[in-house]
Amino acid sequence: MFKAAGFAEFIYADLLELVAGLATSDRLWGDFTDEHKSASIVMYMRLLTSAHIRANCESLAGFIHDPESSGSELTVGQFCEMYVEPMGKEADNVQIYALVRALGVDIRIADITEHNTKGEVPFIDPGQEERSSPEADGDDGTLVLLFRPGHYDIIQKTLFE
Amino acid sequence: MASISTRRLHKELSEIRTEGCPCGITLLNADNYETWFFSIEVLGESLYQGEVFKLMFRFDASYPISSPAVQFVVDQNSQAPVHPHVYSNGHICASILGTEWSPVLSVSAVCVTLQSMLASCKVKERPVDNDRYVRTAPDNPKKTRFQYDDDTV
Repeated sequence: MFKAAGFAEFIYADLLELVAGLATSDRLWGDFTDEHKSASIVMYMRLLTSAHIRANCESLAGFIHDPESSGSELTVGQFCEMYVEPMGKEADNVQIYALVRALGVDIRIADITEHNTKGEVPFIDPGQEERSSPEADGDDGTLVLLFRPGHYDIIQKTLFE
Repeated sequence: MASISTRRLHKELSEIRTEGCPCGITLLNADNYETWFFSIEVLGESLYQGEVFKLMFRFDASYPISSPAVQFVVDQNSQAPVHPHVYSNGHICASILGTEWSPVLSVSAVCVTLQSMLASCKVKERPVDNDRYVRTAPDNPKKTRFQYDDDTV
């Protein structure tokens, strides 16, 4: 997938190794809190997102726009170079969708900025249309995230005795 | 285990040594994983015909997550090219060295971008704020926050 996206082997080989090691790593906490390693994990996710967008450019091209200047047209490649691959750029809907598809996880996002007068918060389900159980509520491995401007939290369901 | 940056630079260096540099770029010195030097010239027709410049790359431990510090060397033997994005102290205002840097880029990719920046130059002149910038510039160009307001040059 990385090769198909045009990334040179020296760019992703070390990242693959690092991320593959996480699955069995008893040093997960250490790796996540190590500045360079955690940044490399983020970079891996960015490359994965970019590779998925590039591989699916036909279906995603219509959703791609320049977040910093409305109206100007960007190609899928330019979009990935400017807003997906560099560190520190915010992930908008296209990136979120691409990453969950690439990872094969289901997520729901509670968007706190969109709450109605009753205080109810709508859920956003990226990729929901492809999913077998549209009413996923976290019991089936779906990851539930709470979105506040500039930040996401993971919400976990807890059973009280 | 060697650090992430050292491993990445080691791979880039082996690729440069086996595949060679892009046309017009020559590796001058890469004795360590902190500072590398290249010579760079624009091939074909350009305002810089016959001129050869020297580029310095400085890497810190967070390369390639953060960009390398890249500048033209200014000493008795070499000068910075006269270009609207290059200050006379050798500092370069280019978005890929700042906010648009991405770990997908590499030393070779930066060299090629700078080469094309020179090749497409239409007027040989210094940036308008050259004197002011050079008077107060930090040693490391990464400490400067450049404004990238002109994509046309």
